[in-house]
Amino acid sequence: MDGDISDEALLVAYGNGEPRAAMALTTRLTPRVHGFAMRMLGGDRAEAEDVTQEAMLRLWKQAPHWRMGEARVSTWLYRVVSNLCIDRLRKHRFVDIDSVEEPADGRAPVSQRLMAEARARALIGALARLPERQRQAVILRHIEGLANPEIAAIMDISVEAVESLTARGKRTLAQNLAPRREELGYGE
Amino acid sequence: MVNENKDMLEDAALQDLFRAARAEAEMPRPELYRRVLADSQALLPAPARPAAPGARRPDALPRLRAGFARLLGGWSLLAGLSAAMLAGLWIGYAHPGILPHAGSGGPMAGTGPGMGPGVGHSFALEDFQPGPDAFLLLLEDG
Repeated sequence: MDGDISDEALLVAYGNGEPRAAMALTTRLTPRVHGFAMRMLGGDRAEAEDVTQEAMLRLWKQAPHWRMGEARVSTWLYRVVSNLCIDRLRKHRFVDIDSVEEPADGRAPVSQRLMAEARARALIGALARLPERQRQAVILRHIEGLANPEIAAIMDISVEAVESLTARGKRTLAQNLAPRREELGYGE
Repeated sequence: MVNENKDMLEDAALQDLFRAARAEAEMPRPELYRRVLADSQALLPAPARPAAPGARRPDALPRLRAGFARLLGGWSLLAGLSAAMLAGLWIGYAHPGILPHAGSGGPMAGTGPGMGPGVGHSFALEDFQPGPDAFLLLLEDG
């Protein structure tokens, strides 16, 4: 199936009974949904997989009612995934933020590869300490790379509120990660 | 990297951490793809049934006629239009009097009933141009 076909057109095709559209949407959307869920849930893979399957299940059910031009599939999905993650965070409180990442000792990783992994783990750990809405806004803006108006549509808030949430979230991240500056390779 | 505020990680470092998080994203396991695809197949809607080749809806022709009649202002206007068209055809055929050289070898001479230059009569190009009497007749008609 052509990669130029939009998510919306593929979803309409699936709603009309086209099985190849499901294959294209699955390969295109599953990694994005899974990655976002992983970051929202502090790196818990099993929970992120359940959220991904549930979000995609809702997408398949929505397909016959989807109307072209009303919304973007990605916006709709990010909203569903956000709500599923926040529900789980509130219900289970399963993210043990102290166990997300803390190296056994304070020595800096030696290889670039290890350093990149350590940095990613450190950020995920620091994100897990943010309030839910700040975490959601920061992930959508700075990792998923969405524009503020789309984030506002996903979170059902104003663009100004998105800017405020991301600014506060970044400030808290900078404060929480400052003590690990040397360990993460950002020392002088 | 120069650090002005020890209590805050620099913005450049924070942006670098965001890049690292994007680059280090864990890909879904094949099992997850299988689960998602299995759901998609279980919930796949029935395909829309296409019309048989060459089949025409039984009410298509009456609908087309009605639409055409509406376009022209209804059946009464359509009947009037047909009558006017026939009348115009008859006038053009049977009343060549206003045309130049009528009955004397003009282009319409011999085509009406009871008129005719006779077999073997031929026309020149000038015969198809209106003469001065044709203009007089048009002025009289207003």
